[in-house]
Amino acid sequence: MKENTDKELDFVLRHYDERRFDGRQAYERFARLHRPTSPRLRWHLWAVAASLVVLLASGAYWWFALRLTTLTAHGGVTTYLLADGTKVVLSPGATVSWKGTYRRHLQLAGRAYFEVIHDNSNPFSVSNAYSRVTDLGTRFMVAEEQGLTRVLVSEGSVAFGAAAKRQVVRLGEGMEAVLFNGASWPRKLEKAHPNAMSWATRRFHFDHTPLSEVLSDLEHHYGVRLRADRLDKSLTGDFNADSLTTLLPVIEKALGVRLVEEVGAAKPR
Amino acid sequence: MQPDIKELFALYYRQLCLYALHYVGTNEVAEDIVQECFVTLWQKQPDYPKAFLYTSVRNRCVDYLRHARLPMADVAAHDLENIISDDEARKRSEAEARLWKAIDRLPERQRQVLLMSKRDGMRYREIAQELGISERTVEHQVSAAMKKLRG
Repeated sequence: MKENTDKELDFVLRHYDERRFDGRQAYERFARLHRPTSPRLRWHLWAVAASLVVLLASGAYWWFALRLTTLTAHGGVTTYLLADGTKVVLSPGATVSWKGTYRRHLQLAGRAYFEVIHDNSNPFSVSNAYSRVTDLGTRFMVAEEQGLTRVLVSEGSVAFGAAAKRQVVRLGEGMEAVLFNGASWPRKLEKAHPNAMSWATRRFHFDHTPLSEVLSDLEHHYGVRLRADRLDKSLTGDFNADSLTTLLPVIEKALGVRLVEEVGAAKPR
Repeated sequence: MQPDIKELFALYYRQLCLYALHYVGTNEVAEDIVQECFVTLWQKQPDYPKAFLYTSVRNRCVDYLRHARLPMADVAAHDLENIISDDEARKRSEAEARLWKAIDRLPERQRQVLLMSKRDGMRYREIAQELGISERTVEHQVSAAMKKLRG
């Protein structure tokens, strides 16, 4: 009983914000929205808001454009080696950037995989608008997705937290967590999904993985559709993500199944 | 016949927000979801408004989590450490709404110090420096506030 009360209290304290969850204010907002305002006034407000946005956006653009170094993956997956030996693998369309000179702090947009040489006195970190990941000696992926940031650790460990907060979650090898945009703490996933990094590591890791999940990982990686004659099998082992034509016979032999690539049904990556 | 919508806001708004928060993890999103559910409530005028609200909040949360493209995450309720059941989240949201209100009612300084420590994770030393008070005062204020909240 006592324990539950403490959990409730911790939860409330972590999220408390005096401007939020106020029933009276919410009612007023509700009542306002359901009483139409005059269109003239509304148009006027929109015009003011729009010009403010334009002003802010152009200001912000120039401010950033003038001081930023940016690395981008234009075509395919691109690997960069930074001055401190850090290896960054960028997914197509992703960028990392830093302001002024490189001091082991990167801003990320999109999805990237990192191999970092740890230095206690000069920690490496990656941020986006909502989150911050600090390495504790490691290989890991940070992916911006719709509405959240995902972190997956393949070796060593990282500290993962919301941008403005000090509390962090420690993620060790094989662990995965997501942070919803604007949330104050990341949540660990019960089951990590290591092959979500195969695009960068070019490795698959399976550990008693049901064949249906194996196929789903391969489909995702190669952008194909696969079919098996039976699904009651599971796979254990590490595989290089070579060509699919090399890999499929290996799995077929290991499990005693038949795997077929469905032609003309390409799955978007 | 129907309780006034204003009264329903006063009774259930906060606990529904906390309930939604157990699912979506973000104050802003939780609040948006609850607002939308009140609009539906207003349009539909159901017989059991509280049950209607909880159910529609849950459905919207699950929709939101699915929509956030989370094939590898879950759509369950969470507290700070673990997954909790839906019943548990409902039960806790009521207690949590009372705790939220209790924090509202703390003396200004006590609340400020408490939040700097427990919400923002600042150390006593840092709080003392920022507010220009002694570390002992900070410690005292935090423990006094926690005592009141634990009641």
